[in-house]
Amino acid sequence: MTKLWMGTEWGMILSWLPMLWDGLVINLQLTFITLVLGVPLGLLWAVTVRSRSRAIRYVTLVFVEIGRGAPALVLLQFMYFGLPQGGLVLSSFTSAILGLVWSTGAYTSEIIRGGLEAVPLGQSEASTALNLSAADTFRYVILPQGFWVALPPLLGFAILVFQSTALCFAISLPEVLAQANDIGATTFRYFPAYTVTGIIFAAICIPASILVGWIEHRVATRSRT
Amino acid sequence: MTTPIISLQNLSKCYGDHRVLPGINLDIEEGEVVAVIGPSGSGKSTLLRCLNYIEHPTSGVIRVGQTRIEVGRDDSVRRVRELRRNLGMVFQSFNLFPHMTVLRNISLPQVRVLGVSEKEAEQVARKLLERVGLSDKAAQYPAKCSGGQQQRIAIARALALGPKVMLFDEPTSALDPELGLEVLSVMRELAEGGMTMLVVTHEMRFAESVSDRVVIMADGEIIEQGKSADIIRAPQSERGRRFLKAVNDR
Amino acid sequence: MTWDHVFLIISGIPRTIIVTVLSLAVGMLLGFPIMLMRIAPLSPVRVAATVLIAVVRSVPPVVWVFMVFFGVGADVVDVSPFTAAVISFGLISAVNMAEIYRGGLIAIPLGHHEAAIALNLSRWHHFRDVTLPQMFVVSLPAIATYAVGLLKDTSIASTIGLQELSFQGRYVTDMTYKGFEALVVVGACYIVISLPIAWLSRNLGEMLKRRVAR
Repeated sequence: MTKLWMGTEWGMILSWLPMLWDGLVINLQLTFITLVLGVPLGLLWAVTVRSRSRAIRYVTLVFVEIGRGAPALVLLQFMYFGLPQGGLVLSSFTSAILGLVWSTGAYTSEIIRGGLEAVPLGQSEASTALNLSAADTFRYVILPQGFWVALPPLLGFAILVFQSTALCFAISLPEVLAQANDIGATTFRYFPAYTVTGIIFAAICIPASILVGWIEHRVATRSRT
Repeated sequence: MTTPIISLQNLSKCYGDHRVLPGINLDIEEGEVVAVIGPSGSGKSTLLRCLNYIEHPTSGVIRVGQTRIEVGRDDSVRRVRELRRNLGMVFQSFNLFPHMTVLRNISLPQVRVLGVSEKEAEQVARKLLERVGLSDKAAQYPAKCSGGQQQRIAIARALALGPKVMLFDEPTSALDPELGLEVLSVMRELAEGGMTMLVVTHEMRFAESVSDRVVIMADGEIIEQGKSADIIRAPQSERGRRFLKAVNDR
Repeated sequence: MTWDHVFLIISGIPRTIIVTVLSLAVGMLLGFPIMLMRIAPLSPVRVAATVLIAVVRSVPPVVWVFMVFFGVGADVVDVSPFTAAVISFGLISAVNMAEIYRGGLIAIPLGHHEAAIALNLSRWHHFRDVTLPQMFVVSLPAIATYAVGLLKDTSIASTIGLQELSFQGRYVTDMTYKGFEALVVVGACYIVISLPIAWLSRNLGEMLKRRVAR
């Protein structure tokens, strides 16, 4: 076991922290932007996938199936290595956003759709009987209720989004794993570098999961008929 | 003879191959209280739900007040909403909006559908709550109310939009006998006030005492109808006799 | 991009599938003891399992892959990308399988347990003949869904040099500068491969419901 650490001392590890922190900031920013853009996109697709217009339905389905069916890594690579061929050269950060937002939109559209469909049928029937328009029914009756059902899985997914930002080193984004790569390359202490990175992720994701579990519990015990 | 306020001609509903309603003909006069009874699966609820287009009927003609719709021909969203303007519906499972207060349950539809101001809507809502005896529940959430209270609130919510006809789909079937009585007395008051009502129910005593006419349905068809006392005491048809005997023997 | 290039990309598929299948197999086997630990009556055992599951799931798969590749590799044996991939994904699968099994266990209606006790079945037979089969059957749709996710996650192994589907895609991209087409082919392959499993998971639930009497 000690051989793995090759006599790495605390001092050395501490010297890595500023670099890793710089990378982590990018992961956090990317996560935030991806969620802010991706979840509304998921809501849009959750609605358009049931549109009366066949064209809108099919286009949405294509985007969702690709966003869900292709690995996130491939989507990222497509944005960064594929688009330039079409004349569109994007930075690592922009490519990362596009790739992750597409993926996030696709997954969250399924989560949100599940939440909306979980609202009892009687609710929309009562709205219809009251002559509320389809838009009003969605806005005042279905969405507010469906949101609470979708919230815990959405939060769980947000944690996964944060984890998937680690993939972006593959498109030259200087996020935390890329920094760990650099540290490994210069010091040859790959394993310690990656372990510290793993610990950083665990330190953020484990409390986050516990928080999400608590929220899930609170939402479930709200006495909503 | 005045024109009936509701007129159904050959109203039919099919689910694929299954014909739930082969073709219903029914007229309802203004101010009449009609009870629809019959065994499960007879199409009673389907009839009601086709009337206000919660289910799309397959064919036939529906007329409510001045609005006439030929199914499949001119049943655009706009026309159907026109039809519904005169129909209020109360469901077996109440279907109150759980995430809003009782007051907002009643005021929101008014604001969004009738276009009145929040203040006016709330005033109307409070008056209706008083009428059904639940003024103190205005700021509560539906989950905190008993089943009977929720159903009375549901009735108030439907009344708030000023319909000419009230449709009741087994309003007391999900309630304990005691709680059911609260609801039935509100319905009785409504009837005595001259509201036109179409009530699908299993409550024979209510059907007999409050309704003007009883309609017995079985297998999607009206097999018998007439003045309530006559029908319930002495059904003419074999099927009707069988059904009422079963009800009485329980 | 020529057909040769397409075949070059497709040649990565067997490795993708093998890594997925092996990792899933390892996970399904190892997941069982981990689940047992997770529900053990002994507190320290339970805590250990819970911590293990939490830690493994909170670290991104790509970081695990790197840790195993550079960790195990540097230490004792020269670990190939293939082995590192199977070890890391096997570990991650094991932990997720443990949770899926546990979910299946919890989903068994209480009435079934009560019936087994009333029939005087020994605890071992209760577990083996009543609990286990149902737990497995109930878990199958979730396992199928997980398998699809695992298939996509194996693309991460391309970053440590495993010549699977994604790696071949990058390789052809670098070679031809036609990243657009190459990556579309790669994406299409993943989607097409996952279709039978997705179909299975959707219908497995229905098929099993019909077979298993309620």
